[in-house]
Amino acid sequence: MSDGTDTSPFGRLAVRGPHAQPVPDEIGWAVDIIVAYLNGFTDGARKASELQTKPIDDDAPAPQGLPAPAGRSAKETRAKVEAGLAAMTDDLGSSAGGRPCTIVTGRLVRSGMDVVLLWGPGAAEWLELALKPKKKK
Amino acid sequence: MKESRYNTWLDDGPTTYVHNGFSGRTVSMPLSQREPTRRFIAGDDTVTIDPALIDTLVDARAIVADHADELDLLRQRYERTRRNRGRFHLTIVPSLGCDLDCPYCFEAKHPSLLDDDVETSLLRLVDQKLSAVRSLGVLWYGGEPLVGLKSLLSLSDNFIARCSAAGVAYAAEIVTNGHLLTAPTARLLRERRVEAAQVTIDGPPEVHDRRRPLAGGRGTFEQLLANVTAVAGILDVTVRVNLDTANVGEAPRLLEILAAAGLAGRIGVYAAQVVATTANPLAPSARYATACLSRTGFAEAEEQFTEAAARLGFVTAGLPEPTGAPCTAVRDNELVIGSRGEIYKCTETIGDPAEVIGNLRNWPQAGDRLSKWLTYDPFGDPECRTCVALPVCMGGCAYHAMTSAAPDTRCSTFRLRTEQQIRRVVTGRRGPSALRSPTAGPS
Repeated sequence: MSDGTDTSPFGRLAVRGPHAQPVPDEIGWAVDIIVAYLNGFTDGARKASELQTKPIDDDAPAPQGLPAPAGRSAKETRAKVEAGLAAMTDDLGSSAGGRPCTIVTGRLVRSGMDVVLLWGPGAAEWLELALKPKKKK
Repeated sequence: MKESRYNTWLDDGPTTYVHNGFSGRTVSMPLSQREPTRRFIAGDDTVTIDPALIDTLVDARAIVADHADELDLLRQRYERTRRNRGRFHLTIVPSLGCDLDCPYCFEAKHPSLLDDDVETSLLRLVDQKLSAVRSLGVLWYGGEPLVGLKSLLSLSDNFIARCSAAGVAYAAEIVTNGHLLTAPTARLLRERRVEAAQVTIDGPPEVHDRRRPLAGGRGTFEQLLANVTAVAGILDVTVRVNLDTANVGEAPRLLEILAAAGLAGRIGVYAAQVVATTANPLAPSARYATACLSRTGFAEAEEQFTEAAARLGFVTAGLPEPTGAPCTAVRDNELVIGSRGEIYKCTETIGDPAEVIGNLRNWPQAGDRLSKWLTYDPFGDPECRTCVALPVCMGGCAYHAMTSAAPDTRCSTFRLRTEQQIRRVVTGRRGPSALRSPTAGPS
C-alpha cells in the first residue's frame, strides 16, 4: 500500500482499509476529493470550481436541481427508467457487494500529477498483481 | 419501479439526502425535489421531476425494479463472499500470553508461545492453499502478538517467500496492546509487509492505567503514547478506545491528549464497546458485566466520540459500507490459529477450549464445531430480515448472536443511529476526510 510518499511513475494512490495515512498536502487534497467520491456522494455539490476537481468530476452526474431537459416528461422518464431496470441482469454488481471495481483518474491542476485510484472489492490485491514485475521467460 | 427498502431520507437545510444501504451511496437533491421525486417513484406522472436526478437514484439503487427482491440479492451477496476461494486469510496468535492484565479481557490467557512444530504445521497448511488463491492475508493477534515476535518474524519471512514464489499477493496487519511496539519493532514489522497496527488506549493516563495495566500493576499510558507517536509514520496506526460506564466520560480528554501530541491527522481513532462475554467463565470479561454500556448507550457514546475526534482533526470512520459475509467466523476460507496450533473460527473465542474446532496437526477435519459457523444464517433472523442495516452488517457478530445474553451487541450501531450517522457524514463533508469503517477485531 502506498504511504503517500512513494515515487511510483503512475502517481498512484491506493486507499484501502480504515487506517489513516500521513500524506503530502497535494495528495491529501486529492484524497479529500476521492474519498468524497468513495463515500458515495454522487451529487454535483462538490464545489468543482472551488476545488479544481473538474477533470475528476467529468464522470460525475450533472448537478441536480437543474431544470429538466426540454422534451423529457415524467412519463418519458418513467419509460426510460423502467426499460433500464428491466434490462438489468446482474443486480449484484460485484462478488463482494457494493459497486464493481472503479477506476477514477484525474490530473491535479496544481501539480500536474496523475492520480489513478482503483476501488472496489479486491482492488488492492488486483493492483498488486497488475503492478508486479512480469517474470522474464 | 419502486423505492429500495434500504433508503434513508433526511433533510439538511435546503438539501435532501437519500442514503442507500445496498449500494452505500448517498444522493443529494434540493429540498424542493423531495416530494415530487417520491411521488414520481410512487407512480405519479403529473409531477415535474429532474430526469438526471432520477437516473442518479437508479444508479445508486435507491430506485429498483418492481420485481427486485433485495433481500434475496443480499443473500446471494452473502453466500458468494462467504465462499471466496481466491483469498486465504489467517488470524494468528504467536503468543496467548500477554504483558497486560485488563479486567474486561475476553480471553482466558496464559503464557504460551507458538513453537517450531506449530510453525511447521502452519507453513504446511499455507503451502496447500497457495496454489488455489490469489492473495494471503494475515492478522497478527493475541494474547499479545509482540510477546511472540520471534515466531511472528519467522513466519512472516516464510509467508512472503512462499507467496512470492507462487505469485500470490501478501499483506498483514497487527492488533497489539502497543506496549512493545517501539519504532525499531515497527520497522521490523513493516519490512515484513505489516502495514497497519491497531493499538488500544482507554483514556487519559489515570483512567487507562487503571484499565490496562501491566501484569504487575504498573501503568502503560506513557509508554503507549510514546510508541504510537514514534510508529505513526512507519505503520498506519489506528487507536481503539474501549468504552464502558467507567470511562465513557473520559474519552474526549484522551482525544485532546492525543491531539496535543501531534497525532491528529496522523492516526485514525474509533470507539468500541466493552462486552461482557460470559461464554468462557475463565475469562476476566465473565465478571465484568455491571460496567458495560447497553448497545443503545454505546451507539450514542460512539457518535459523540466520533464527532469530538473529527473536530480535533482525527481521521474517523465514515458510514459503514455494504459488505458480504462480515468476518472470519462465517467465511469458508479463513481460520484463527492459536499458539498451540489449535484452530478457532472467531477471534473472540481464542483461549476457550470449548470453541476449538480442530488442530493444525490433522486439519482439515470435518466436524460440527465448524459447521455451526458456516451455516450461520442471518437471513433466518426476523430482526435481520427487516433491518435497514442488513446490507452493511449482514447479521453482525455471529458469536454474539449465538451466545450473548444481550443479542443486540451483534448489531452494527448503524441500526440504532441510522439517521444520525448519515447526518454526521453529510454535514462533515467539508471537514476532515472520512475513511472506511474500522474492521479490525477486538483487543
